[in-house]
Amino acid sequence: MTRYIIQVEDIHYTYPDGTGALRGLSLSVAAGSKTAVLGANGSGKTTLFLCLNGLLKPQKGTICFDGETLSQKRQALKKLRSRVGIVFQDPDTQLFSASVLQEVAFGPLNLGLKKEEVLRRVTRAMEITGIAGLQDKATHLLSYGQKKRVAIAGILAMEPEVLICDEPTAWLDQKHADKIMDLFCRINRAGTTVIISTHDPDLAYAFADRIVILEQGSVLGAGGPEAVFLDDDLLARAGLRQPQVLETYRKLRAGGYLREGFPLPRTREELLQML
Amino acid sequence: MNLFDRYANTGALKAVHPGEKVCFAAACLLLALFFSSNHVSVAVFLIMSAVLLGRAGVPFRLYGKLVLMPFFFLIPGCLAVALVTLPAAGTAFFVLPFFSPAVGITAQSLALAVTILLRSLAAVFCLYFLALTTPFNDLAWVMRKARTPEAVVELAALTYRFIFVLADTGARIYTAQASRLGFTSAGNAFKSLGGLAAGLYLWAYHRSRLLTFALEARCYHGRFPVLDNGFAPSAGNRLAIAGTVVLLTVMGLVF
Ligand SMILES: Nc1ncnc2c1ncn2[C@@H]1O[C@H](COP(=O)(O)OP(=O)(O)OP(=O)(O)O)[C@@H](O)[C@H]1O
Ligand SMILES: [Mg+2]
Repeated sequence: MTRYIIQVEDIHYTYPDGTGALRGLSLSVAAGSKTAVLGANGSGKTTLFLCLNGLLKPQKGTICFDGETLSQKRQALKKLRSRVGIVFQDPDTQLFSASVLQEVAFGPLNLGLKKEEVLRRVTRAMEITGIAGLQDKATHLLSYGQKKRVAIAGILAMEPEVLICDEPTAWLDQKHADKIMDLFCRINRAGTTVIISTHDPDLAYAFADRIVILEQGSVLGAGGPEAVFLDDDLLARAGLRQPQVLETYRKLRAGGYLREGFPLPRTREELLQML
Repeated sequence: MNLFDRYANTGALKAVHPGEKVCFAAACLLLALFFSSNHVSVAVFLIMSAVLLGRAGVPFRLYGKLVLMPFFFLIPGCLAVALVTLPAAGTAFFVLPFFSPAVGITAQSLALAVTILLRSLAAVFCLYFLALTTPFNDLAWVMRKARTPEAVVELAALTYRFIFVLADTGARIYTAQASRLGFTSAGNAFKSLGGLAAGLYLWAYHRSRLLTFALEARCYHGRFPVLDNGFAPSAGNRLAIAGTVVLLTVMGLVF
């Protein structure tokens, strides 16, 4: 039986100004999975993530983490946040320390770890995100892509069980975007559940093993990447285009250009092999 | 503000034990205020200048600006002290025209103004030294070591962060307006300034809320943790601090 690490049941969230950002959203995330949340601007992705970390409290509905209903008690919240790490969409809202080193160390220090352990984690997180050379730099002087990577490193250093990343590749150049997605796959193989939001169907298709499409605060459709991205009707309703690999595959296949006996291709390389 | 922070975080004295830097600045400040003697004030000013230029690596241009900055408030302040109502004509070497009773500067009031000016300059430079060499995190560390109540340290830390949020938000709005020709004439400059003031409040409030999110999401629980950088105390620095204190005390007592 699958173990669900996050279960969201019919949550509603309305911002103080009256905007209904989440309206009856339900969603389950299996432990150890890679989920991509897709949805137009304003569909509620960021709001959902803030709820999952206990930063916003839905007015209605329940969120269960690892079988336990989320409570708003201080201790429970602290425990939740040490297990669920969230990288904000806009690094400018996440970074606040004077130097990169202090910034990355903030989370691990709050976990009450020993200094050696903190330094070990910080060094490692900075290495794998490629910011080791920036450690003494002031955070407000970094470029946007660098800030994003510092923000990611700051969460990785906390080694959460669930990593939530709001638009991980926005602002990143191709090389660093690929690197970050590789990194997420790697930590996922090591057991971390990863949830990302994105607008890019290609990225979602190559990365995720589960796709969730949001529209106006509720789930329009969810399922495995093949099922979701082959459902032309669903894609049309969501206003999403088919991932390029899949589209090309279907055209080539219809024309009889592909060899048989391969699974559905997820990446360009896999597709090219079938020619 | 950013400027100070940048130097504090990258300057040559960053690695020096923050306790030593705080002691140095505090000792000089207290002696200058306590003795209130021109010689001591000038000595403190010179010592701080030498340390900033020589060891902290502050460039001359910045130093020049630092010297000039306090005069914006020192000159009006000291003028107000120097100008007194004169008891009798003849005692003053400068008399303002058209005033009765006569207003002017006497030798006494001038001396007092100079003393205040020098003392303020010395005090400002002690604080410059601290601001330009010690990142806030290190200061918080010293405050904790000195058993300052946690609430005070946290308040200072948050205030410090929010000043940046405010300054940064203001700068961003200004750039956004200027890039769309918001300051090309006196008329639209006024309008833009109004928009800036309104937007500044909204955005800064919003961003401070988001900052709270950022803190809470990473398990902040009312205590800014500081990575102890393993500062090594230095015998040389301590000796230098002790030497300075003795020198200033002797000057203060002799002159
Ligand atoms: N602090 C807030 N106060 C009021 N309304 C808000 C606030 N934050 C977001 N909203 C509104 O809630 C809705 C959902 O916003 P949310 O940020 O969750 O969307 P999103 O899916 O993350 O969009 P994007 O792809 O642009 O990041 C939007 O209509 C937005 O205008
Ligand atoms: Mg968003």
